[in-house]
Amino acid sequence: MLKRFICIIAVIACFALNVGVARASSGYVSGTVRFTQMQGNYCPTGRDCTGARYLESAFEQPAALRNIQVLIVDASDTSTVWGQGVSSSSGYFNIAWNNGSAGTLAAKIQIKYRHQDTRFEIRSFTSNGIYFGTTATFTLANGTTSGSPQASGTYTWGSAASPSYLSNLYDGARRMWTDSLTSSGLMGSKFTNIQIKAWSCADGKDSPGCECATSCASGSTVKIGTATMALLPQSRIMHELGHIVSSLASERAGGFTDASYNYPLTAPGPVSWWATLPEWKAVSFEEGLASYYADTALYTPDAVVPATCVGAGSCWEWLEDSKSSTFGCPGDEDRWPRSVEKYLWDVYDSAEDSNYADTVEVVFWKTINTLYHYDPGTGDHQKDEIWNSSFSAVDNFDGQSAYDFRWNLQNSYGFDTSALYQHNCWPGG
Amino acid sequence: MKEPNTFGRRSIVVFACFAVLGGVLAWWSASSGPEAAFRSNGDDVPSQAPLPPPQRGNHVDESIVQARSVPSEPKYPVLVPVYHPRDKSEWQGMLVDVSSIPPCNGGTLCGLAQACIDDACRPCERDAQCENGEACVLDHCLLANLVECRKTKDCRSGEICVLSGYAPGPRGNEGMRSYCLDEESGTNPPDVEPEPEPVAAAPVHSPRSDAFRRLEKLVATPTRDELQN
Repeated sequence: MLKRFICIIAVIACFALNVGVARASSGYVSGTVRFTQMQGNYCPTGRDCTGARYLESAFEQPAALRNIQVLIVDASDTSTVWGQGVSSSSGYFNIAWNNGSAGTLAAKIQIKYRHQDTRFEIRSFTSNGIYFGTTATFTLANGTTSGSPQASGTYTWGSAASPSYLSNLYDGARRMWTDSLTSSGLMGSKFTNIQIKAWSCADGKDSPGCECATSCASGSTVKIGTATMALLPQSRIMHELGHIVSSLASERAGGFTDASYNYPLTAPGPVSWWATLPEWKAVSFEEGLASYYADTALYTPDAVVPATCVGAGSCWEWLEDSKSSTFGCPGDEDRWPRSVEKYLWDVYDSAEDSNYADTVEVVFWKTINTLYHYDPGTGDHQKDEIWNSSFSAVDNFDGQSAYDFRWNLQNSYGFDTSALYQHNCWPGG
Repeated sequence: MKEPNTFGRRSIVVFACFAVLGGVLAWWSASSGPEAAFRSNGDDVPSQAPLPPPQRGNHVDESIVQARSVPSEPKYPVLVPVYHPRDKSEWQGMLVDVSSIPPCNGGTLCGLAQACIDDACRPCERDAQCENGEACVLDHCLLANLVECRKTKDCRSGEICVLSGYAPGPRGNEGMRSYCLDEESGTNPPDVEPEPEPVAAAPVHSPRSDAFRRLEKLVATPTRDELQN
């Protein structure tokens, strides 16, 4: 009897011990994720960079991968997730993990190229999956606490010699959100689940199967043509996200068509434009608007030398280079997207122009919500002015111009921007 | 007088029990990996679908450069997200990706403000699924004292109930709040902030000359941009 009792006790003890062995391990892991900053469009050393958010001194340097989703995954199967969290503005993370009954402590850190709050994510153009990156394998320490997590180290994606294009693309989009759009209530509501498709063109040429050679936007999707486009944020990811803002805010019923791009062509043609070439005014406004939103991610309203360009390195075209209504604006400059961009910058900025009194400063979110306030319809000043009343064809390529924005801004919020309009070449006619 | 023999036999019995039970449980452990534990509800899809090898001649390489090792990860790896649906009348931000579901048995925390349901971290559906002192709002567990609204109907006309965003702490809800967002509101973008990242020794990087800028302008890739609305 005693033997049986002892055996039962032993079995119970044995069972308890074995349960302990089989029970999951758990703990906390901390670390820092970052990348090598290789984006252009910084404010260069030697220029007055007052109001510039991105300086050349940060170029080619390690920078935090901010506000990105971070996971602890099984080293042998990175689709098995043991813990998840987000990085801070300094790239730091502290994540609780639990390995279930895996019986192994070999793990990796994984970043998903997704904003922590799913404002946007970078997906494969080909497979539609989210890109990710993982570290080398390390061994988890069981029983660590949130207050004293296992320090796993600092992980840096890419180098100056071999950039991480996805990390740079992520950071460009992140900056657009954090430094600009987050200040808009309307975007706080609507700017979410944006998909950035990379890379949509095999070789940067308009070859068959190349859907977007440089960068494009449609609905809530951005396409980035090739990896090197990730290094030109102002004219690529930020500009395209500017189109997303326009689309979300305006809630237009109709879109743009190929035929409505290059002035004075009316026949269907390539969807292409250039900032300093004449375009139909609907296109001129839309492209200038997208560039303006990009500019606000890189410069505050009091910036002394805000600049723009479509290119790498530092930008060289001055946003404050307004033209006199008496002497400036040769040729078709009223049709340039750049003229629209400069007008909108003057609407937003708090700095004085050198050649006229710019006394208007419109708080940023109102330059978004003005689009929201257009009346629906295809009439003058309305959301879909370029379309005929049945939406069967575009019949007014100069509709939805900067003039309509000016009109709606005044109608919505009472700002008279006629002087700004005049000194930037009457960009809507 | 019998004690030594009894102890000896007892030891053998206990050892045998350990051996047998240990063997059985070891077999059980080996046969039930995390896949079985996480994917019992059938909601998941394969969360990794490697792309075919790169076909273009560019030089993308998302491998991590680490001081102590160079990992050999596949290029162009991808994860296929599966978002937990939410009532379309509510804010559609911060939808929860349920393609990867960490375990949480043993009382360990779930990150990203998720609830521990059936030993797996999942979006919550009611307060009782969250930790003590938390409430379920828009699929997330929030500290109850930071809940201003649970649904958009709790807000005034023109407002929408949203979440303020994840915190970088282990629970993910440290400081996260729900509130009524007025779409007709905002501020100017935030002021310039210094880069928070401690920077390694900087390579020599001379200011770009005008000639260099002109060269940059000449070699700037794009001559064309596109919009397809």
